[in-house]
Amino acid sequence: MAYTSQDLLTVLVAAVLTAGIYAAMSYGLSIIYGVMKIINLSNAGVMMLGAFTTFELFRRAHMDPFLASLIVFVFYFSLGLVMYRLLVRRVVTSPPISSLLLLFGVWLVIQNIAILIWGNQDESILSKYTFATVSVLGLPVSVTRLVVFFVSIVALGLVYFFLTHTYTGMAIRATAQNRDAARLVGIDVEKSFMIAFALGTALAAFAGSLLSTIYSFNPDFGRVFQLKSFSIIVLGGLESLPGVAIGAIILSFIESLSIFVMRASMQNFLAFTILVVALVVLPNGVAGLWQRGRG
Amino acid sequence: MRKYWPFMLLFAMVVLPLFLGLAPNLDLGFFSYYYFLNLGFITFVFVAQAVAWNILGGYGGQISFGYSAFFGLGAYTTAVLWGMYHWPMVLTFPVAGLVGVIFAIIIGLPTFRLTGPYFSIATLGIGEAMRVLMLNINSLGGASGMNLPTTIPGKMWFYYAGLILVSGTLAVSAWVRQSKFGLALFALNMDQNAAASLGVNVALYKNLAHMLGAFIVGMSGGLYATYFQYIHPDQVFGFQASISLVLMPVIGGVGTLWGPVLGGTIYYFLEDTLLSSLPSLHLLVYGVLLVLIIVLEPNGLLGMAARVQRWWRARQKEHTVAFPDAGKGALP
Amino acid sequence: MSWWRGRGTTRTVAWLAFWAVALLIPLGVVGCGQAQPKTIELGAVLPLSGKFQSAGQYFQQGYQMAIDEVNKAGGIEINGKKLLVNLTVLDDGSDPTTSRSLVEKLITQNHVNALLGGYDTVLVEAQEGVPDQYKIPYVEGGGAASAIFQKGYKYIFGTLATVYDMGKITMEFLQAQIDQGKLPKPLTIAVVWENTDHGKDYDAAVKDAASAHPDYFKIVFDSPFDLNGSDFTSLLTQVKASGADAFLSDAHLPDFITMHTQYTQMKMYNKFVSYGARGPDQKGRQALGSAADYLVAALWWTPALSNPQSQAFAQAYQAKYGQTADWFQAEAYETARAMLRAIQNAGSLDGTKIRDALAQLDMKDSILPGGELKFGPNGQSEVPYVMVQNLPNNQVQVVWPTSLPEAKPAILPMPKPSGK
Repeated sequence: MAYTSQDLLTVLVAAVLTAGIYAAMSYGLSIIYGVMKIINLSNAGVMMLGAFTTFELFRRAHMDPFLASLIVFVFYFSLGLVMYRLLVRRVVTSPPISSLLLLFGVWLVIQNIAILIWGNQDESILSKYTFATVSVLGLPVSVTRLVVFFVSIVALGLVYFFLTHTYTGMAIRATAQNRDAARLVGIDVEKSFMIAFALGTALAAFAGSLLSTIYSFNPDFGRVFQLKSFSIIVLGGLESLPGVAIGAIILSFIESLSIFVMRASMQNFLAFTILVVALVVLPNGVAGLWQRGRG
Repeated sequence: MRKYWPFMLLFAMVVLPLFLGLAPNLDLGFFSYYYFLNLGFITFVFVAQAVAWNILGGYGGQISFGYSAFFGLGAYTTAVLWGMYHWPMVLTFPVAGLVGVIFAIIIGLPTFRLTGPYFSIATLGIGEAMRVLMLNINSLGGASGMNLPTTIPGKMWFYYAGLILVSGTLAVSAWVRQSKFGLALFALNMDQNAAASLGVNVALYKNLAHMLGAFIVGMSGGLYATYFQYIHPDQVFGFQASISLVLMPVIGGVGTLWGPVLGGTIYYFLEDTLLSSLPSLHLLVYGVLLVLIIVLEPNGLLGMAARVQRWWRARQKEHTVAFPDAGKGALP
Repeated sequence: MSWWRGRGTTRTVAWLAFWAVALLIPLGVVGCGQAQPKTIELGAVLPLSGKFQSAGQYFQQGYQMAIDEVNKAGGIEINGKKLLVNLTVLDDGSDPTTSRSLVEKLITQNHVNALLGGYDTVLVEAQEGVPDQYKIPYVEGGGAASAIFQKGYKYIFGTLATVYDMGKITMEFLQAQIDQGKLPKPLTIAVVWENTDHGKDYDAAVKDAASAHPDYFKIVFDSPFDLNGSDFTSLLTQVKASGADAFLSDAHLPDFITMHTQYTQMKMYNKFVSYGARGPDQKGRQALGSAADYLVAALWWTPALSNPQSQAFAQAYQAKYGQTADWFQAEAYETARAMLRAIQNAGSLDGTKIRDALAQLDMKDSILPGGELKFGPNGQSEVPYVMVQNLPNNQVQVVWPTSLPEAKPAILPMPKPSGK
């Protein structure tokens, strides 16, 4: 088969855009783990809810899906606060098994309530953006993917700014580093946890909302993505946001390029293999490797 | 007398089918003979797995979401040895267990070195990775699944095979609980660093428990495959298989000996009677139950029963102090 | 931590269990007793929840419609007495283990006289070991893999034509189009398929046709892909690079939507595009809009069929459930009808007699394409497919086989999308 340089470029551009999607859906997971050391298994469920909320806003209120994603962000931030007060608060200090199982239960509940509401059908959003393309380097590039890519970069910047330049953000970072020390210097650790959890939840729903413009979705939406997200945050070292971006790029490029050497149906196997290999070889992620290199 | 009741239960399980078998066509309304054998077998196989999961997951506190990998590998091992190489059926079961053990070592050796929930994260992908891999191995049927010989023993045989498996597993679990091995697992569950500093070889014990669980789950996978005569990657490596393995012990009482048995029996009983006629509530019920258990009573139904009992005793003799630790599992 | 520490608790539980069993056994004995059959009991285990939920519900609707029809006519005559038909449906939650176990339950607890099948090949394959053990006939319309019928079971019958036949009829259709000069000869083909039994059968048919007619077809690209993919850009780039005239893809609905969206975004064009059975699905057309126009699909049934039985069924379904029938409901309806007809022919509730009646069944008023339903020696029916092409404004046109009166010539090569 003859591949032109144009074809290779198409694949590379697609890989970069997919990395944006992967990064967007992993931020929430990373923040919650970083601050609370909790693996949020309900992440996929919240993503799915974000997608369906956008779908309802689009279908019933004829709202622009990207505008809807902002509303989704705000709404699920509040839902995250509620979830934290009602449930998560009780397991923050328990051994990891409790939080894993609790959030796993929450995921099952969310998923099955969604089935009761929307049925188990594949829905999708056909908006004016769906087939719109712009020309990048002479290639047709999907507008939705491009928007998601840029939004994920902007979101990274904003969250980073929030964590480094606001009092609440710095309090959250202090809590993440050492919760006892943070408490000693008068930081409201409980509040940091609450805001971090709400932020993580909101980011997950936001990602789901953005992804609903690209993919079709059903109540099981997010499960495959969730597993990929784990690979990504492990690659990124579990706790660093820029690490997430790096992890997303690595995974996306490996997946996209692998197709030239192996069956396309093995793509998902790669993500999980990377997860295990990365855990073993790079327990601190790629960022850790870099820090080690610096001494 | 009291501590002999497990043997009485076992005795009842042994004689019940013989008793029912006297009149196999008698319809007892809520269960008939053949149906009892079928449900009995399936419950035994999955309860055995739940008990096996509980050794590492309950006693040791290492949650794995990847036991379907052992289950599936066991099923495929039996399918290959029995179906393709015509080994005697029963001989394939220990080999199925051993294949599970080898896989457990491959997963456990690297991930157990690390502290923190790395093991749990890694296991989330393992079942799925194996599923995708098996879908792509065409010599093992790939996405078509594998058919096994249809020349199988009768239902009675499977019932007793399942009973032997579950009794053996319970005996192993009971032994682990009171052995030094079990103590080490409880210790590392409570505080891994403290256990390590006291000279407990944390990684070794975790690996041993993992291998033990894998052996039992692998064998049960083999047994299941022969009963079903057909296996497919989506079925034996499916996420559902891993989920139910986590749910059963947690509902019953994680870290206790009988919790997984109670949880597993209820799980299959619910699945079969209630939920099959109430669609859409399937996993919702379990999800709600899971959340309530973690928030209200981390020791599951056994913990709840213990509470009720304490409350009852306290009411009866209000001047005496109820036994505060009764029924406490491994969860702090 | 010796294990009998918890004996207080466990003893309570054991006592509870003991009393539960002790109280239930007499209850059960009271409830027993054999009586003359008052109804004909049919049973089905369907995925009413879980990942196949929507298909499971469609199947339940189709089964129920066929049974309601019979009951409205007074039932079926058994030993000189008209009996009504009752259907018990249990939910397996899309889980094979549960599915099989519940089939046993239907037979041993509910004492069903005959079984209707589940949905999706994996669940049907899980169920199919049971009926022969109890000699209860089983007709299914939800699993099309040829493997189901290769195991020598005597009580299993299927109304769905195989996916292999779907690939085969697509290739026959293409051959005719080549002969008419609408497509180039030889036609270069890129085929991608989901890595399931479904996809494998489809791919096998395409390959077989290509090796049988090397002067007509040349396969230039062939690759499986994983279900529920997130990005098909790499795969589609390979399709594009292969320079194929025709693009064949066998995909389930979500992948069809994702793949064809990306196909359109990449501004790809092939003279012929088909996604197997996908195309006219309402969900797909909502998601893809005009991008789904002119796609060609091979189907088991379509409301566009003009024969009176199909039209009657489509209208009855529309009236009852307020939506357009898809092949799921039609297939289920036909499956239940085949079973009921066989019971009627047998005039008995004996499993073996119904089974023999099924083997000899020849239903001449079938709603399936071709209008006739009978089962081959292995239990699988050989009903022809019908090929349709999507037209703008959500129209669907039957294009093959030409023996159907409503068939019109296909619009090929596919028109290039205008403007964009």
